[in-house]
Amino acid sequence: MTELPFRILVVEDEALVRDVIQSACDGGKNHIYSAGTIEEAEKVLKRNGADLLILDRMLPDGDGLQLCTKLRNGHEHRSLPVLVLSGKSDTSERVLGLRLGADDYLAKPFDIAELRARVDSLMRRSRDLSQSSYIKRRLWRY
Amino acid sequence: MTALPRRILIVEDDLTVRDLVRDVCDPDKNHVHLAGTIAEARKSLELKGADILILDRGLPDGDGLALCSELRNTPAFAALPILVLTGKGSTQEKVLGLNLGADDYLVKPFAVEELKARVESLMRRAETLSKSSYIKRRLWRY
Repeated sequence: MTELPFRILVVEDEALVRDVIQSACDGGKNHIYSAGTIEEAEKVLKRNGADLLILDRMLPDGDGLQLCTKLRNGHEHRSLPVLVLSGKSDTSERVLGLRLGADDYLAKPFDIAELRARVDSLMRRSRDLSQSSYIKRRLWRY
Repeated sequence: MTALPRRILIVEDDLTVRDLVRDVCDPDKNHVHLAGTIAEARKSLELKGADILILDRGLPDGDGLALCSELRNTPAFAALPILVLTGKGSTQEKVLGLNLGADDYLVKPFAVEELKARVESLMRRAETLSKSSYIKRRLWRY
């Protein structure tokens, strides 16, 4: 079965970091969108949707975790996988991020190979589960 | 909605760590099963199943990752959420673990609060996705 390309939204205001993240996410295989602020991220989500969100915290218009909470409390993006990538690396900050709805929290500076492996792991989980629900739907149908 | 108790399997040969992890998993609320070896873990999974697996690597009968990749290739456990908890903390080891099927990889020594937050996050993801597949099934049906 051919895998569909993933739509990955990268929310990061530093262009250099954004490029590194984009190259880790395999732009050749997946569709990568980027945003530099929370407001832009919301616009992109509305327009293009996303299958995975990589989210910085210290953005010009607020803490990325605000967006994370908002998505978790809404309907449309409640189950969107969110990986927070932030310089705020204390245990208490990581715990806060995970509690507010992040599926993973990676501290900066990060290793590209680890980011890629974590992104792959999140995508695999979404795929596996949607595939198994697909199979269940088929079984239900027939 | 009351949350159902989860079946959590902890695979860890160090008793001190095992007790600590068990406390994190809230044994009053959840069904916590324990195993000290890969063989015991297999048996426990077969007999009692699990909703989440917390897996050490340096076990008496092998590397926990061997079990992890085995489960990923077993249809009944392919979607079981797995958190690897280990002293092997290099990027290379983390990438290996995530690529072999771990959903999360936390390095010892770890903060109890972070382990708790990561377990919660993993369970939330698994539960949200299975709920949304349930809704999709309903929509399909009617």
